[in-house]
Amino acid sequence: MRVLPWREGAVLLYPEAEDASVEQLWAAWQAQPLPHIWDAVPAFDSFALYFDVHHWQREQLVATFLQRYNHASAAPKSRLHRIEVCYHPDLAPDLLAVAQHAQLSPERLIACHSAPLYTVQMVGFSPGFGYLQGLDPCLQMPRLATPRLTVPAGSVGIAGAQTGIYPQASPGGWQLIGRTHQQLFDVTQQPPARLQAGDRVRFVPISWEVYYARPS
Amino acid sequence: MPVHLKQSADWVELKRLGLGCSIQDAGRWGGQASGVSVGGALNPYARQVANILVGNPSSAAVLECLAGTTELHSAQPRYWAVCGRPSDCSVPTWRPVWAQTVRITGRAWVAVAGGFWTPLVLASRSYDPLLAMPPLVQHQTLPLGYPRFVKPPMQATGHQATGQVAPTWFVPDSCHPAPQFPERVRAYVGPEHTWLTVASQTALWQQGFRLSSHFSRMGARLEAAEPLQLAQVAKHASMLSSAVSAGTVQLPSSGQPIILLAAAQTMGGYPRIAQVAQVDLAVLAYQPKQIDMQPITLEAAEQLLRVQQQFLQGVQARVEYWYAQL
Repeated sequence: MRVLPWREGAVLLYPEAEDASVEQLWAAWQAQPLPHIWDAVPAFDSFALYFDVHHWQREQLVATFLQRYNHASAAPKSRLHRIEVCYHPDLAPDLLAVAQHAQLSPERLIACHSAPLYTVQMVGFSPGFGYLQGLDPCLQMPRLATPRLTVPAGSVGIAGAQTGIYPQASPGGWQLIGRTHQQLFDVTQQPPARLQAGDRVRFVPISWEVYYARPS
Repeated sequence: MPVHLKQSADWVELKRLGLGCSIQDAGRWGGQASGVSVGGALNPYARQVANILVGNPSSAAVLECLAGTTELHSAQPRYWAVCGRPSDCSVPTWRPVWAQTVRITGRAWVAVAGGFWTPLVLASRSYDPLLAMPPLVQHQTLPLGYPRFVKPPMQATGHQATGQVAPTWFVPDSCHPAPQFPERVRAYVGPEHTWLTVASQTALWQQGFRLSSHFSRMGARLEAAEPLQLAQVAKHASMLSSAVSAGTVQLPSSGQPIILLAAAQTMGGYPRIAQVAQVDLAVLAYQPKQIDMQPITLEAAEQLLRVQQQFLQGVQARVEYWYAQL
């Protein structure tokens, strides 16, 4: 484990080959977190801990953390989310451009995008925004040259090898290929983000009629 | 002694609202894994001092005023504290003031006895536009908590006309009370510091930076005469997004660094070339025109933070004593 002191009251851990993965560390952490920690933040290849300096010494925290969670055998428990997506071009301004880029028919593109079982690698960028891994390589496409000033909430986008859903209206540069009516971020829930790192996601295509019939 | 505030029937009215005013507390912790940024007051020192001066827990919510004129009027006279560098203020700053109306022009953090009692969202009152929280509007009333100290001061300098009274003593600002050119900001190396060329590693500490007009609660863009360069190897090594926080100095491809502030996003994909000492976030909160980065070690930065905490405990003890004498 590469341990970076990084900041006052925080430490940054980069697991190496022999260590548990970030996904495994995060799963083990959620099951049984340590006390007096302000925040634990899993990212693609790193895990950050913000700790209460009145209760933890940096070295003591790192030692306790490694002893408790760094068992590569710990199987991450993951939840499966079925996200209903309407791929109608009215709700998917970049669908045809992506289809053209991938040299696929729109129907084939929808099939390619809704087939894989995606893994949430990380939640960030904005509240509840999950970066999903597992995109069919034929759908990879760079982000827009000029980001949109507003992307509607629920928009499903593609950027490079990743796909994701905008939980709230925000600026964004991802290629938009669909939209979901499902809420992905709710401050009354704990945790507020529906997708958490390590979760699995499957997209379920729905028609335009079904999309508008669903309560948003 | 832990202090737990409760909501009271009292309120204050926002008679006038300046630009970029928001309610901010010690931040929203525990949601970064869900992509929720920490936020909180841009100037943690001013937020803590203002709260201590009126008898609140130092993490209570204050009103952050960034620009323009803000006027607050409370239903009853009570204790207020205005900490910051306002260009004009109707009450003396950095001390408790017994008053009913407070008017501030410029940048300050305003605490009121009992604390602002706006609704909690994910256990914090800090305004975050991404959480669909309502922004402050002119003429709105804000609920308040129960104040600990309600007895007006006896012996003090006061303006009889306005009914306000305040002691002559005050708590000093953590940085120089007047703007400096350049302002000194202490910092230490970040995880990707070695990605810089050797020349840029030195230039980071030796050349000054101007702050561009792109300044927000999320971050400040710096402008250097000589853009900082990444070494050839590092240009090809792409960084995977990793944790960033208030004080993180990122280097986008333009070579002009960005210092993230209180409302920093949870993750960033640019090399983290340096990290500003937490105690010097107060300097950046005043939006200096120019800064010099002074290298220190992380251990030194941790020590500065400990010293500041001890100082604030001392202030708290003195303030409690002052209230007890009333």
